[in-house]
Amino acid sequence: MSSPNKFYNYAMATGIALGSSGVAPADAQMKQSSGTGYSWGFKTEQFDKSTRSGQPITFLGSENLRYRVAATQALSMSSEEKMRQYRYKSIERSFMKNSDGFPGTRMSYMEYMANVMCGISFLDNISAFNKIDETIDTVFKLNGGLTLTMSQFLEDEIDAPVVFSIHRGEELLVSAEMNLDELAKTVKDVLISESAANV
Amino acid sequence: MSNKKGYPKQILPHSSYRRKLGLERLLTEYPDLMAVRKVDGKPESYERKGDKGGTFILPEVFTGNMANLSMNLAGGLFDVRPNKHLRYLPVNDEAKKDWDGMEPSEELYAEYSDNECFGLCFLIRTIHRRPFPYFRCFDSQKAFDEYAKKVEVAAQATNRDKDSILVGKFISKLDTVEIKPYIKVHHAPTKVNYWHITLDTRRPTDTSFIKAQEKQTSQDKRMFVALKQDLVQRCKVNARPNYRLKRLDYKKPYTKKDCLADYTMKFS
Repeated sequence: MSSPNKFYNYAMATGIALGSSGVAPADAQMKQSSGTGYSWGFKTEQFDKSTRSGQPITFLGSENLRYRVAATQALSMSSEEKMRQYRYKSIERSFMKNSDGFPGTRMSYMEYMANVMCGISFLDNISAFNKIDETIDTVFKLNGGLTLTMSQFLEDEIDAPVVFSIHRGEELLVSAEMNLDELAKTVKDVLISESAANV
Repeated sequence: MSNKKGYPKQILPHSSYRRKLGLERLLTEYPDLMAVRKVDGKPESYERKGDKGGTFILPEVFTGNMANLSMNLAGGLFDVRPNKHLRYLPVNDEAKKDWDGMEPSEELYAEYSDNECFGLCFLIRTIHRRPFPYFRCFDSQKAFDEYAKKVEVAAQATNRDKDSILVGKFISKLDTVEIKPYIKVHHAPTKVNYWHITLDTRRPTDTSFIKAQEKQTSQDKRMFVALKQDLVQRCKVNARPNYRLKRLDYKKPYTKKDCLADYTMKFS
């Protein structure tokens, strides 16, 4: 059994939920450093359901602190995964309400967009089919008074750059073309720098 | 068409009016100078509820050609309330032509449409005489070079600095280069509406503003989509101006009667 699956088994045994892939984050798959018995990677059999099932997790000493950090990371990955699903549904729901006249054969465009953009955190959102421009227009209200508006062209390839702009209030911060993966990454960076600036 | 009230004669051009209003001059006196764009229908048809309950106006509110975006100047004799002058549109092609300085004949505004509508309002200072920075992709080095050459020619012809309207160089199809189209509001009185203004856009490769009847490329379309995204963030629905233009702002100078009228208005 490979080490990620071992981690999966352990997570199941201790009540730590994982993402859909069941794979722990790379930095959570730590290697053993000294002989306390907790490790990922080499002595993973110690975390099998059979040997750990039902036992409480105890955190003692610095070695166990590392274990605790890894467990927290696994937990946060799980909540992030849930958030992604929640946001995906939110985008999808909004689009379904505002998709009058949308050609059903192009539904994969919305699904692709929602799948990428559910990776960013937002406060409110709307997606709608724009008959005039033949675009899927999506607006996200972000933290820090930012608004992301994007238009995905149905005449383009599914992963072609979209046109987007980011405003703070009425002030235009950026207006550009970018593919969705890059855009999601950029928006995440913007949100991180915004929250850092507000600390 | 409805003939209940008739076309509002207050908004017709008059031979005593200035041929063109200098918006810079007006902006110095009225910093909140406002433009209103007519949108057919009710605001509720365009205001959408977000998934968490917020209200959004989407770019689809701009249905017409973005090249010469028609608007009306508020604060003069044009009443921007939706049930007043905003709802009237001339249907006669001749009536839509630029005002020639003459007083219009009645048949020009005998026919009109008066659809239900609302106003999208903009502060002119936020959309007038400004570059519109836009980061776009180019398909190839060749496409970029051709574009840069056109920008250089246009910049020379209009005494602009090329590097200020095209920033960066081609790296790959997915990397963007900053271009700066330019937007400007023009007073464009028609034969039946003195208060008609347009928001015009100039491509970095051009020396003049894009005309409504001009063929637009897919890149123009993307640029205008970006402009729509910007405008929807700046607009207010059915706002009212907080100033009032004086007669002398739009009338040719100067008769004793004008003076007296302005004086009376100021103290009324």
